[in-house]
Order: sequence, then structure tokens, then C-alpha cells
Amino acid sequence: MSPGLSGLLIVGALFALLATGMPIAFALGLAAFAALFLQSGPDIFYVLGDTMFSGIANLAYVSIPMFVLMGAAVASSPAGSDLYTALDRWLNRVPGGLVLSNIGACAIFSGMTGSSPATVAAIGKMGIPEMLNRGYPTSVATGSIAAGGTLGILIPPSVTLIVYGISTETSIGRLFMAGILPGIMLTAMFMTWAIIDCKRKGYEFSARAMRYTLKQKLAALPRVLPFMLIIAGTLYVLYGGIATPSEAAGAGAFLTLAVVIIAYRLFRFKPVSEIFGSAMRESVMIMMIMAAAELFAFALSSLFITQTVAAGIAGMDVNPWVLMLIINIFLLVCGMFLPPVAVIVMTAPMLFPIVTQAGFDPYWFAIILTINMEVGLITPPVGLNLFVINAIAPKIPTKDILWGALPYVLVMFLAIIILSIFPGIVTWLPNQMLGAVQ
Amino acid sequence: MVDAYVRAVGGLSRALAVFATLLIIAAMLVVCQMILMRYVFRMATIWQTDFVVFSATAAMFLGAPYVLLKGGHVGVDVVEMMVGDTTRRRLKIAGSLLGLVFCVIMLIASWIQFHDAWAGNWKHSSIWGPPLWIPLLALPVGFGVLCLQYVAQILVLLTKGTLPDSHVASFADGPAIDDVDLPISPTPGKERAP
Repeated sequence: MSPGLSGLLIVGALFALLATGMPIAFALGLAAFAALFLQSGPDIFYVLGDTMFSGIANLAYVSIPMFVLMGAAVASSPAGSDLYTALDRWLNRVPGGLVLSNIGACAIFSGMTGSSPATVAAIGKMGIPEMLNRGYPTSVATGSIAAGGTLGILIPPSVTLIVYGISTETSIGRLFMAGILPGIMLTAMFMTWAIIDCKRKGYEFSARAMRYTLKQKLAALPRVLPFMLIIAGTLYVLYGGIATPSEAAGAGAFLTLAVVIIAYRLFRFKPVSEIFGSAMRESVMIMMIMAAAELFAFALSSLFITQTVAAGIAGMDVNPWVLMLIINIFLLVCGMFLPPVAVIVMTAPMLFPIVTQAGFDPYWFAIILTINMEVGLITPPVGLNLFVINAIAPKIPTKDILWGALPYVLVMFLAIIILSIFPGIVTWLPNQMLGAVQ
Repeated sequence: MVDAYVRAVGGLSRALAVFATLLIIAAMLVVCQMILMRYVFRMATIWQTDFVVFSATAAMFLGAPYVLLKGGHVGVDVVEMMVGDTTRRRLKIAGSLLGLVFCVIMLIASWIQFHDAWAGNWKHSSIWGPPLWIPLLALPVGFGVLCLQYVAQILVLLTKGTLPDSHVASFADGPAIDDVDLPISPTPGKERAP
């Protein structure tokens, strides 16, 4: 069987399995097993366990459960609502101020966790009801949170950038640094759109009637500062080259947990077990998908599918920017069906040599890839952020969430175009701090 | 009978999750200890890296049954949303059976691997060189309990027709926003412990 045909069969099988609604991790694994079994017979049983185990048994991957734990400590405790309150007090005078403070809260929260669904859940649980109370339409309320949550994987620490770093053997610290300016830029672009949207529709909300005194504003700060310091500390040790990502993540998780438990006096079993329970659920979900995606990627390369596709793309002999456009469309389609980590594990090793040979900066490409994955988080059929919003606000029709999120998808496309014209936005900061890539 | 089985397996999954959580906490503390050793006391670390990697990895496989119990493994529910109730139930059963098939395959494969490591006394190639069967044991245990959990899920689907948890429930713990029209004002800090 030609690699092209077997590729179509394995991807077709994967889609058929996913259609039953079974866990993505197990669907990836089963499709991979079927392909490998047909090729190599029962011998394949000897490699399955090792492929899954060594796929995730890596020191750098330890940072994923640690960063998730750090996020859960804030999200599943009153710390999240304090963060939210503080931002609201500072930003409520701006038109559409509450939308802005929600997007801002998402961006700051993204600095504590590498995960988008955790960001959406943490900020959405407070932000959505509050926006609805103050008269914002459901589409504005849910769309801004869905979009703001996508910042979770762009602003460091970021689970997807960790996975990209390991898959392509690039520096995770440098990737994180490359994500900072684009993250700030995208946040500003989201906020700009929110202001335009609110002005255009002429919403004048009761929100602005509420005034906070400077004293109230300052009073909100002490509860937020420790977390900001931890973020700053984590990023400092990482960028200063003082510690590896997993060390920074482990220490960050420990400090955040300590602050949350002491500051909010969570000395009972239940609140603490909630933090660990939600961290466990999210990290296992991510890591199982990654372990299974490793199996799937192994199947693709054993059947020479990866190599054939890569050779096909490389042999197209087109202008690098046409190539980049094709890769972007390919990534967008993948991102619509599979979670970011799975897409990166399966495609990064294949795309990386093509992209670098075409003369693109590997760190720039990581950021472009991440923004593509962000789009996938808020578009059907597998928009994880949309699911999360649906779960925290089941009464809001999915249609409203989709329409609310759609303009932000266009904003992200615009961001990809801007970053393509000005790649310096990605590369400037890491080059300044760490020197140019050799 | 079915209820008792479902409860027992649920208990087993939870117990494994508690153990997995302890492994994660241990990994976190060892990471901190490693930082102190390396950067403050300028001492070499020997066993720490292996311990952290293996306990975090083992925790992921041991936590998997609990995540299935909680409906936390994300799936694609487009088709599910388009079809009627009966078809949805059949799809769910089919999906669970396929999941069970994968877990049985992995149980066999990871048992072979564990057995080889144990019988052959494999050691990890590092200075510390811990026996590999210990972390590898997490796979057959995790996949074994995943099989039991899947059987429980299928039994519930056959007898009751629905599952209590949706696959995103895990991200949205706590009360959902029930009625968006009500002027509910979330009072920050109301959940604060006394």
C-alpha cells in the first residue's frame, strides 16, 4: 500500500472513531494501533507501552502538570475572584470596561497557567455573570471570555510552547520569551476590538455609573500582588537561565499553593482537594492525549506517511510565503479537530525542517503555530474553550457564544498577518535578552 | 449488583487518583529540594531528576481512570449533538466499547513491557539507576482500572441510559450559572473559608 493511501485510511479511521465521541486520546491510540498492527502484526505489542511511556517521561514535560497545578491553585480558590475584582476596579471607567477587565484578567491569568481551558473556567465563572448583570449581551460576554482564554497558550508559561520546544529541540525559555510581545499585542488587539464593538453598538452600561475611590482601588491590590510577584519570579528564573522550565514550574506551583493556602486559610481537606482534583483532571487529560499522539505520530512515520507528506510539501517548490499560507491552512484545519498539544506532537517534527529550510525563524513559527491553535480553541467542532463556557453557562445558546467569538478569530488572523510583516515583534525580545540564534 | 460494581470501581479509581496526587506533590517537593541543592548549596543531585520524571509520568497513567470517571477526557461531540436520543445512546455505548478495546490492548502491551522489565531486572541508564519495573507498573495498573471503569460506564449506559457527567464538567466545577436572567451578583470571597 502506498504511504498516501495508508495515510488517508489512518486519518479516515481516526475521524470515524472521533465521531463516536470517545476520548480523543484513546481514538488516536486505537487508530495508531490498527495501522501498526496491520503493518507489523502482533510484534507491535512490544513497542506500544514503551512509546506511550517514553513519549511523556521527559523532565521538561514535568513542567506541564506543575504549571497546571499553579493555575488550579488560583482558579479553584478565592484568589481568582480577587484578581478579577481588582482589575474591574481599575478598568471600569473605560467604555466596555468590564469586557476589557475580563480580557485583561484572562491575560494575567495566562501568566500563571499554561492552559486555555483553565483560564476560561477561572475568569468565565466570575466574568460572565457579572457582564450579564451589567447589561452586556450574551454574545459579547461569552465571546470575550472565549477569546481571552486563548491567550493562555500564547502568554508564557504555555503548555503548547513546551511541547513545541521538546518536539523540535528548541529552547523553551526562548520560546516563552518570544511569546511575550505577541501575547501583549494580541491582548491589546482583543481589547481594541471590544472597545470598537461596544462603541459601535452604542452600549452605555450601568457599569460606568459605578465609581470606585482610589482607596477601594488600592485596597484590591494586596491580594493580587503576591501572585504577580510569583509570576514575575517564575519568569525571571526561567529567562535568567537560572532554572529549567520544570524547576521554575515546580517552584512556582509550590509557592502559589503555599500563598493560596496561607492567605485564604484553606486548612481544611475539601478546598485543597478541589485544587488537586481539578489539576489532576486537566493534566491527565493533556498528557494522555500527548502520549497517544506520540503513538499516532510513531504510526505515521513507520508507514512513511510523515516523510511522504513532508517531501510533498517541500517538493512543491513555491514561494516561501505561499508555503507558509498552505501550512497555516493545514494547521487551522488540524486545530479545528484536535487539541493543540496533539497537533503539535504530530505535525511539528514534520513541519519544522520544511519551515526552517524555507528560511523562517523557528521561534517565529512557534508563535504563528500557537495562534493557529488558538483559533481552533474557539471554532467548532472541537473548540475546547466553547465547551468550557457551555459548561459554566449552560443556558446561553451555543450560537451566541460562536457569534461572539467569531470577530476575535478575525482579529487573530490579523495578528498572524501583522507578525508575518513584522517578525521582529516575535524575535526582538529574545534576541535582546539572549542574543541572536546561532 | 450493577450499582455495587459501579461504586466499587469508582472507589478504586478515586483511590488511585489520591495516590497519583501524592506522587505529583512528591515530585513538586523534590523539584524544590533539587533547586535548593543545586543553586543554594551547590551540590550535585543524583536521584532527583529520575524520581521527578518517573513519579510525574506514573501519576498521569494512574490518574487516568479517575479522569474517565469524571468525564474529563475530551472528545468530539459534534455528531452526538446532531442525532436523536436513541442514536446518541448507541454512539456513547459504541464509543465506550472502542475505548475499552484500546485499554485492553494497552493493558496487554504494558503488561508485557512491565513483565520484561521485572524479569530482566531492567535499570534506568543513569547514575542512580532505579529499577524500571516500578514506574512501568503504573501503565498496566492504570489501563487495568481504566478497563474496569469502562465496563462500569457501559453498564451504567445500558441500565440507566445516560452518564451523569459531561466531558467538560471537569473544567467547570462548582455551580453552573443556572439562569442568566436573574440578577445574580457573584460576591467575591463568599466561598472563603472561615
